[in-house]
Amino acid sequence: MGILGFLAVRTRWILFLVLAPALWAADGHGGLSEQELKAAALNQVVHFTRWPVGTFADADSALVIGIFGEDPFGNLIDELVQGEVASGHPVKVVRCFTPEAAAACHVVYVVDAGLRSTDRLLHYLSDRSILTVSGDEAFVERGGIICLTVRSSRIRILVNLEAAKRANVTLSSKLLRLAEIVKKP
Amino acid sequence: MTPGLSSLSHLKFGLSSSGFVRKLKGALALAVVACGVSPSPGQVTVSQLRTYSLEELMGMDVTSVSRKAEPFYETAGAVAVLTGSEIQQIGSRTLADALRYVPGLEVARVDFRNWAISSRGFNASNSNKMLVLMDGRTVYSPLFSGVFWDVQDTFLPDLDRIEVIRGPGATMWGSNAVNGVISMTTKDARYTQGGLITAGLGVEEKAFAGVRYGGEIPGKLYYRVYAQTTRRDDLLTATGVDLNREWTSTQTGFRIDSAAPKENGSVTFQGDYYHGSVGATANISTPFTGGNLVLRATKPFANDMEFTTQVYFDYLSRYVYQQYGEVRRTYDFDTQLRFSPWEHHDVVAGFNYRSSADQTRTGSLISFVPVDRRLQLGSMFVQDEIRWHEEMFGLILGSKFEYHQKVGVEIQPSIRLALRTRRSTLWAAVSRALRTPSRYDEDSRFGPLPTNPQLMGSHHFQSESVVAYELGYRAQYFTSFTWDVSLFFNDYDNLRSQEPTGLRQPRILSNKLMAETYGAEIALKWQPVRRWRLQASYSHLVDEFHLASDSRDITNGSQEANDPKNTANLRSHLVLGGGLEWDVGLRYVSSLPNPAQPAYLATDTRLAWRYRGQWEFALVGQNIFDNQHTEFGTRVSDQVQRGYYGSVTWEF
Repeated sequence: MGILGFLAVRTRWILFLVLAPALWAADGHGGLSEQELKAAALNQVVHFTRWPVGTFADADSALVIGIFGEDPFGNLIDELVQGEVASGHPVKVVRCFTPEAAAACHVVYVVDAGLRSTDRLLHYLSDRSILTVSGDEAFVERGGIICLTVRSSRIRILVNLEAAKRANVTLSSKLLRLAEIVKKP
Repeated sequence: MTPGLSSLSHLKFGLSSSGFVRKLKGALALAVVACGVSPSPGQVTVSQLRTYSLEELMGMDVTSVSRKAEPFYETAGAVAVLTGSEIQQIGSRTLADALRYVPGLEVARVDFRNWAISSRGFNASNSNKMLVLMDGRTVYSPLFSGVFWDVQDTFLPDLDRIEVIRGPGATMWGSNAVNGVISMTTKDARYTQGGLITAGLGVEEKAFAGVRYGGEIPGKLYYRVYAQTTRRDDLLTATGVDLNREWTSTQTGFRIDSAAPKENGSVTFQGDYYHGSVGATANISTPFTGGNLVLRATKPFANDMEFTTQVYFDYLSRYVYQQYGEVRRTYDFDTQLRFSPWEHHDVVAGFNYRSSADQTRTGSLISFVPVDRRLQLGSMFVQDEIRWHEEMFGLILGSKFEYHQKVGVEIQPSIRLALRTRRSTLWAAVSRALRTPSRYDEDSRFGPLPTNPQLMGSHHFQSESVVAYELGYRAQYFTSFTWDVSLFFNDYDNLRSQEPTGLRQPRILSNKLMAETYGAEIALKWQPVRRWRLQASYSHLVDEFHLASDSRDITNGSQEANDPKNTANLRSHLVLGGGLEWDVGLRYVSSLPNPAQPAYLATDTRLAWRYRGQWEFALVGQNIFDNQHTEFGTRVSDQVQRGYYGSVTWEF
């Protein structure tokens, strides 16, 4: 039996298996991906955060966002922060892979909060004024400050206020109104 | 294209660190990779995205899952990915066992040291139609055509992913990628910083321990080193006898990655050394030793041009008691260039040279004539990927051209077509692939007396070939539900047959068998709630063998394939809270024809507790509802027993 004979016999099954779901899921283009929305939200959250006096060496030194782990944003996040100024400081993005490198940032976005190494990282950062952010809901339960998650196809923000207080970073009331508070001090 | 959009399209390169993925994207993905991640033209650009307020962002619909979770979402081929954490959640201690839950793969443990692993049929104790790679290094042996799964190992916590392509991959990867490609990649050293110690005790997996440490030379490189050791219990023989054989192995290795940002190019240098022995009887154990060194560099240039080159050396010494022995040295050089000569075109071209030299040792069952032989292989490929209509349609045309000393130039072309919307990909492909003659096909003498063998290889043996027709569809209905279906029809020619030459004369390996296989594979992923993830897959396969009119073969393909009609599996991953996680896996394999094997259902489970993040305690049960069962023929295969182990992992 060649391919043509096979097709002649099985056409109905092939059509059913492939085209039925195809028709059901048929839709146009549109909308934004999770990573695009999270990158944009991360950029916004930085503007709603105040660091204690003395955090920045100079008035014009950079506010550094560190992406910890396997970067899901690519160049998008670099493009987003280009020319941005938060709390009077130009915003800059770096990639970091060790707790020591993360400690040199002002914001640390933890890509995979489910890893065993996350607690080691959070512990290392805990006595520093660093805003920790992740896209994983388990993160705030483990002591991270902000989680950008997706619920019912929308971006939602979770905040661990206790952790924010411990890190001595101030989140604006506007951000807190939009967020769900997970742990209060 | 607006500037903003082109920068968004770079997202596609941020997805994975593995070179294989890049290669796969070239091979199978119809380039609209960017389309799934970034908005379509005329929609949102970076500058627009920046102007949205937090409230506005929170009011927008997320229309696709993260690319990281579904890296092959856009590929125009039948692909499946098992991530490193999924592999740990299964609790498998061997790479072969980890493959049991990959959609469309059939995995059967034949005996103590052999696994039969294949997709789309042709599973055998020496399955020869799946090409297997580890960090870009082929582990497919040209001795028997197949993979010695007993010597394939890595430090499992550092395994990044296992990617499986079902269907031919020969245009990109070359011969022997007939029914599929399995590629295992370890993590970039930058993602394995810090220390990790793990140890465990159990039944079957008697004892194991491993340690890894990762560090950096700031601004220059990231590195890691690891060492591990394992002791495994025997399987029961087909008749239920415990021979008290034991399997021990020790492995150590390193990986160094340059610290420069990926967009400036990268250099990787890695290697492994392993030594172990597999008991033949309680008193006799047979040793194996192996090692490898791999150097890989990638350099991007302007206009999306990129140059990649890789060299490796691999050494393996392996002896199977009373059967045969082999020492093999492989040198491989591979280079490829990706560029975009015209608008809408993305071209990849490459060149490969491999030298694989062996020294065989005659056992009492199999010998090779000549005893030592060096196989050389040169090949090149070129492929063009064309996109049009805002990247909704894609076409990939390409071919591999391989030169073998014995068979001359072989051509393995393919054509792939894809139609893509935001949430779905419909694809079709026609490709040709070959399995080139192995030492066994050409030079073997099989039988208790080498002077008077029962079965002989032949220098007239040709490459086996397939023409494969595929159709597939992949869609994401909600952010939490994805579905993947593929259909195939494979037309095989020149398959291995055994031709009798006369009374008391050996049978000669020849190419007079033909086959058609067809079937379907379905894979689903569903996350009903955040803490619960379900994955299911089902494969159906029909194979029909027939002989050329002048063939006198009496095996009719029974030596080449022993395939189940139906295989299915289900996996559940549940996060219970308080650091507890519970995994359950069910796998079903329907009966096998010859050697006969009844259908079986096996259950695996794992309960893990994470304490203060750094500590993890796990209890694993394998095959828990069954004392023992064979997987590849009740009268010939060893019996896999119920196994348990507990492990502790500490990361610092």
